[in-house]
Amino acid sequence: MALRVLLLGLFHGGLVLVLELVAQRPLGFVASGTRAQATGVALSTMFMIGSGLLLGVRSRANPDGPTSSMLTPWRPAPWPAVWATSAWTFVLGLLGFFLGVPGFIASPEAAGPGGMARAMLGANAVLLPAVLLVGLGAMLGANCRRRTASWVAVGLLVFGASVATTSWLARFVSYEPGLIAVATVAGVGFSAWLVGFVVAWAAGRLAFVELYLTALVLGYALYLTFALGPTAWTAASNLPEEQVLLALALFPTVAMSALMMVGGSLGFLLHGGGRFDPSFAYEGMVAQRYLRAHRRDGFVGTVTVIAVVGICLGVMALIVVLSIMSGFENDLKTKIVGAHAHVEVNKHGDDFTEYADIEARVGDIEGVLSAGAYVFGDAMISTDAGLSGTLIKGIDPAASGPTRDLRRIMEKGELLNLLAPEKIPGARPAIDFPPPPIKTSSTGTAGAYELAVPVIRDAQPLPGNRVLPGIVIGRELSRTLRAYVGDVVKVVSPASEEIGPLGPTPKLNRFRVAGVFYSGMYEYDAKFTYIEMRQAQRFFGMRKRATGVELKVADIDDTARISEEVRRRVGGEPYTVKDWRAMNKELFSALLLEKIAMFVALGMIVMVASFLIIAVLVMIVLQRKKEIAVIKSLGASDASIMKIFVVEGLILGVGGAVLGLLVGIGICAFLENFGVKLDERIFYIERLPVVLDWVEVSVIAAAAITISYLATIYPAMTAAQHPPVEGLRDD
Amino acid sequence: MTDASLPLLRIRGLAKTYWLEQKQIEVLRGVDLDVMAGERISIIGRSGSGKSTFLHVIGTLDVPTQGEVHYLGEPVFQKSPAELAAFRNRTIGFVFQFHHLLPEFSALENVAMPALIQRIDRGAAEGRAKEMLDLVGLGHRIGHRPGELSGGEQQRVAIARALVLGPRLLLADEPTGNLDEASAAGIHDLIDEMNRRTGLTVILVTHSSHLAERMPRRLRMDEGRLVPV
Ligand SMILES: Nc1ncnc2c1ncn2[C@@H]1O[C@H](COP(=O)(O)OP(=O)(O)OP(=O)(O)O)[C@@H](O)[C@H]1O
Ligand SMILES: [Mg+2]
Repeated sequence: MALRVLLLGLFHGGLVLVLELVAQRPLGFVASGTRAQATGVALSTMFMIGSGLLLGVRSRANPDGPTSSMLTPWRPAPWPAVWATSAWTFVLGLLGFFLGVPGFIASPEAAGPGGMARAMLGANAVLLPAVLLVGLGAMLGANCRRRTASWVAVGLLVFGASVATTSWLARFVSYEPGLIAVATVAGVGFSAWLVGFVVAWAAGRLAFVELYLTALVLGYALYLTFALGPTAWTAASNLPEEQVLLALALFPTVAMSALMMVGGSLGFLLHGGGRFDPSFAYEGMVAQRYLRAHRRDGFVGTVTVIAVVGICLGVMALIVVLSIMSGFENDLKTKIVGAHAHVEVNKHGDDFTEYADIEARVGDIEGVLSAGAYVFGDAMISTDAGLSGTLIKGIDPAASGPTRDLRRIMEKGELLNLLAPEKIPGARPAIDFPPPPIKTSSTGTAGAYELAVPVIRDAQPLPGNRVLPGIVIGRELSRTLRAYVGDVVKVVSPASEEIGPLGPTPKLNRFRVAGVFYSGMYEYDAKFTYIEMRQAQRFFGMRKRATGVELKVADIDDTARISEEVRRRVGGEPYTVKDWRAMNKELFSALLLEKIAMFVALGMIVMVASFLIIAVLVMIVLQRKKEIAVIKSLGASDASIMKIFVVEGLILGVGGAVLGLLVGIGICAFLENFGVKLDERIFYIERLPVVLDWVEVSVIAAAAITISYLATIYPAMTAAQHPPVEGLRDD
Repeated sequence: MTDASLPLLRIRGLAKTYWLEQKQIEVLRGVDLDVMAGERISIIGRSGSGKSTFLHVIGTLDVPTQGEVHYLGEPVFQKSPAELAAFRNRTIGFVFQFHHLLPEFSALENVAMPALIQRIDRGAAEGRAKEMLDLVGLGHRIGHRPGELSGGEQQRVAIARALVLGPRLLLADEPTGNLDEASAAGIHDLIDEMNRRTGLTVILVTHSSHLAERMPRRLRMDEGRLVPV
């Protein structure tokens, strides 16, 4: 007996090694490094699961006998052989790792520190994970039936067809590559769900073995495609390669098997009784009756309440936190689109002289409010009080469209004075009177009044009595430089045409502050300055040229369509067209990532609460064994029994989610209407912003309900597979 | 519609063995039996002789270790779990030794349960249940939970539940065990009446040889086999 197990282990452990040997030869083209390691580990885990599968399949006695479906729904894996197999994999891997199996290594490179062979052997030489993988395979194998392979094939076919269809449809979704990607991923998710649904429906059972095998096949296929395919695929995202590969190793398989499980259980619930039966009528009644009965039962009742409260808290926290994050994001978005171009046309090279023509061509597109050329460059700006970098934008102050938003946020001074710098206060020496002194005490004595003495400001002499050009700066910059309307600032441009005796010398210009704006966006108020277009062309040495043409549009959510139209009209290369979303891609994707991280973190609360739902249901199922048997003896199908406990869990999950939704939306409404004052110096916003995004709310609700649904599957499945005779014998 | 010569149930070589810590308990050792439609059969036997086990197996609540049961020529244990469930729901009425009513449900709901499982709508199901309860003489107790009924009343509710869908085959495991002579006779009258009216086939386990006498065909469970008395 023991010898047999040992030999079984040696055979299956050896099989892993042989498969690795065979596999890595044709893969010699993969250079050592991240990809080689990733491929190596992936392949060796695949072979471990595979050999476990073989072990499991061999261990079954009578796969389709009458007892298999009714009495022993889950066969145990042959654990002694699993341990023996992984022990042998471990020993052989260790030997190979340190001694180097002759002939094992395809190339010296593969044996190196980053090589594929080394990664494979290293993966073998880790004992416990190997047991898990071999065990997983063996468990699946032990529960295979005669038709399992055909159902896996059906699953793969359905998946392929569905993915092809959905990704074909995804192209109609939008112009934006980002949205197309989202639609494609959603299509893959839907396809996984569909595979589960179709297979379980057609097979008339939960078919989890088949579905999990399908998910594994797809997961490995996807992973190896990316790991062995062109580098460009992994480089398409901004993340480092090893992170992409790690994410690909874990996420798709887990997500797909979860979705298949959801689809599969639904397919079984609706069709597991041998015909299409969407009714939950009596099941709902039984579920309600049991929940009510168990509420009075101290322990189960308490855990039930905690589970519901947990779901409620999680959903509430998600809604409130994500709404506040949306609020900040929205605030940022309004400030960005207020201050910057909505759509921008640029040109490769620096000969954008035909900007007036481009302006004319795109100006009358439907939805475009204005089109104006601008010059853009960076410089140093300074006064005696301070120094700062600045982004200078040369604009036409007279163009009412493009400057609309800037005029709106002007705090002091006058934008149009850029055109008439002589009108700027202080352009000519002026006489200011100080404000009348304030009476400080009611018992005013002599000295309370001081003589009003005229003060002459701006004593700086101007060379040649020339009028300085104007500049408009932001409030924060104005504070750092202590430069207010009428004051003179020095601007130094690194790019300059002037050639001094020692090569190009930086060009220094003086400007007089014509106005100060306040957008409420710190970065913008601290960095941006505006001068008149011709001044800018001269200053940056771009005679008759522009940096680009900026468009303002009526509806900023319509920029994808408008960009497309602009692109068509200007005729592609050498022109490039970008909308505000693309210009701030990093910022918005960082915000999105932050949101996703928050979603996952707070989702954990719901997750934990859903474990309590599992606990409650398992306890109820254990206490109700006899009743389950009785209901089965009256003719309830397995699917019908499963429905009872799914409904029971969903009552808790949906109840908690609805409560959480109400409370969360209530809190958001409260914050919106009564507001929470924020320290403006820190947050740069006066009130806690709240934006309740209904898409997000629906996603949160759907996620909470899906998680609680998933939590019901295991207990409901045990209830369904409970043999009808058990519990009937005793009173 | 069905071949008159085809037995309703044809049981061949039915064996059931339990394993308890390596020890084998052979409860059924090859039962052979043909049951014609409309027959009334009583089974007696010592306690622990395997009568309940036999009923469970032919009622498809349990699976045999060996042998097969044919229902109108069809092997029942070849059916899928879903088909078996429908078979139990439509064809078989079961009365358990310990009545096994659902404690959270009223008598009416208990009796309506098989109909509800068959997706008959609630009103119609409860209508039938009410009729059935009237028939067993409990029309006035329909709102009571099993805990509020006496043992005999519970057993009558269980019989009403077994018969509510008009099954072809009634498997009754000591349905009158808890009843006094008169009530037991009443139950037997009811079963006989259903047999006459609908051609119900009855297999009834009892300890009382007096009641067994009432059945035209009498069998005894002996050494894991059924022998005629
Ligand atoms: N699940 C089980 N595991 C082991 N032994 C069992 C099991 N179920 C029943 N038995 C045994 O099978 C035998 C027959 O039991 P069964 O209930 O069929 O007897 P019975 O004839 O109905 O007895 P009674 O007249 O007391 O109801 C008993 O010895 C019992 O202990
Ligand atoms: Mg018995």
